Amino acid sequence: MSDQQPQRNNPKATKTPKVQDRQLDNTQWHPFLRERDLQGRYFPGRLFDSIGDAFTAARSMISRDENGIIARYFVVVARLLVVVACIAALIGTGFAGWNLGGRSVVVQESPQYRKEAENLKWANSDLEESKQDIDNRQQQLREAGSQVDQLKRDQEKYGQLIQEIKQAQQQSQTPMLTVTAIGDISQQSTFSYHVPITVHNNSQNTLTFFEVYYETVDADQNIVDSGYALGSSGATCEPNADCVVKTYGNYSPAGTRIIPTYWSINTANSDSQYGRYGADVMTKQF
Amino acid sequence: MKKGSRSRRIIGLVAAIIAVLAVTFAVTFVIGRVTKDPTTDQTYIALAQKTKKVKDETAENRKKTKDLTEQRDDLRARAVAQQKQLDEDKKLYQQYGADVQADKPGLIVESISPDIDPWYTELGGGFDLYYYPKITVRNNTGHVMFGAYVHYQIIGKDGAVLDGDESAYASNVIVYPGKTVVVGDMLKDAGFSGATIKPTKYEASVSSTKNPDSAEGVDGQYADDVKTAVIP
Repeated sequence: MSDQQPQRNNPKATKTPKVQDRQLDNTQWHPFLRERDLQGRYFPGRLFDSIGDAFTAARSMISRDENGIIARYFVVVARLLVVVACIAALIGTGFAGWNLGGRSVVVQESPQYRKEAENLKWANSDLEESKQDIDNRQQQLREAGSQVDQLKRDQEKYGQLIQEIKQAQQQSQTPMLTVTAIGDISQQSTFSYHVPITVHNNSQNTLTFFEVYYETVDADQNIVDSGYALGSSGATCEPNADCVVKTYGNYSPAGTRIIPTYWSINTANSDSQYGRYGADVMTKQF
Repeated sequence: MKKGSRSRRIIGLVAAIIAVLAVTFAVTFVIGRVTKDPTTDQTYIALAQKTKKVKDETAENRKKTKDLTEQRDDLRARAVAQQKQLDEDKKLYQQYGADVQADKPGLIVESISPDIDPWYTELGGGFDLYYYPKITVRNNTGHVMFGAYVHYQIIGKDGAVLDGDESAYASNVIVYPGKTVVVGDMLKDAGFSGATIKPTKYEASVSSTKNPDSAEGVDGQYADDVKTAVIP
């Protein structure tokens, strides 16, 4: 090593005439550079020249390695390189093996994938079901909607009249005369029939006049007769008292139902009231 | 000999290297295969993402279904309530209502009875004769009716009008649509025997369409083909 170094690092110390000549020409030249390098050639040419020079230098070095130092170094380096290559090969092989081993697993056939595929299958089934549910609900909504519409139309047919009927069946106000009893038909003479009706005076006044309008209906609810029932001539009805009014007719109401319809009162100070009974009024079938 | 052993050594060395590499490869291959986690594989991840997407969509659909179910139940409840109401109304209508006969008058004359005062017949006269004409009319107004007037004429055998404007009535009654009511009058005789009672027009007090609690009047004329009755 000691006698090689000067040659490599200090060209001034070399004994080769050629180098010496060059040194004489220009001391700042690098040992690998020759005259042709000065002629402005391109880099690739220069590079190959440099490599060529390096080989030449190495060959000369080895050829002059008299005591085998370089050879020994080469052996050491070669062994190191072999070790490194072995390790690299092992690592490479290992990595390749590990990688290929991983790749060799068919993911589609792994339990996890199969499980997930199964999950997807069920999820799809659920999705399908949920879509059907929505369709189903929308269908049911349409059906219910059209049902409601139809009912509404049907209702409109009855609506107004039903309102009137319901209203007519409600009393117009709290009756001042409540019907508490309807008596039997009494025949006074050949063409004189009476039905006594007991009414309760709900007012706080003595009534100087009190009457109940009535109708009699047949089995088909057709009105066959109508009229009024009056108290006896000159009779008054005290507050909260039960008083009797009587119907009068030429013919017997037998076979009909009597229904009180309206009531009418007058008090001593000429305060009069009039109202309609509701359908819940007491009636009587003769 | 020396050359032969050298080649054997080289062969051996190469064989050893191949064996070591093969074993290494085999072992790492097995390790790689065993330790492979399929869930980190792109194929699996794509599958799992798809599953998640489907599940999310399903969850959304179920939420929508839930909303729709509520809507459906509300609507069904409404339909049930309306059906109940309609059934009640129908029942009420069947009991108290009737369809209007479009080509007939508001009060259809069903029959006319020209009653003679029974006392007059019973006692054989000796006082003024009164008739009690009773006209049965059907409520075709399409409303609940509270009172009715039927105007009539007395027409003699020769076609002359003996009495131009009489009227029979009923008041303070509640006549449901389609039902009949008898309107009555008291008519003093003026040589009416053999004459004809002919209704001319009617007036009725019916439930108001605007306010069912109040009444409004309806009226109309009778055509010439109206029912008549001859006074005995």
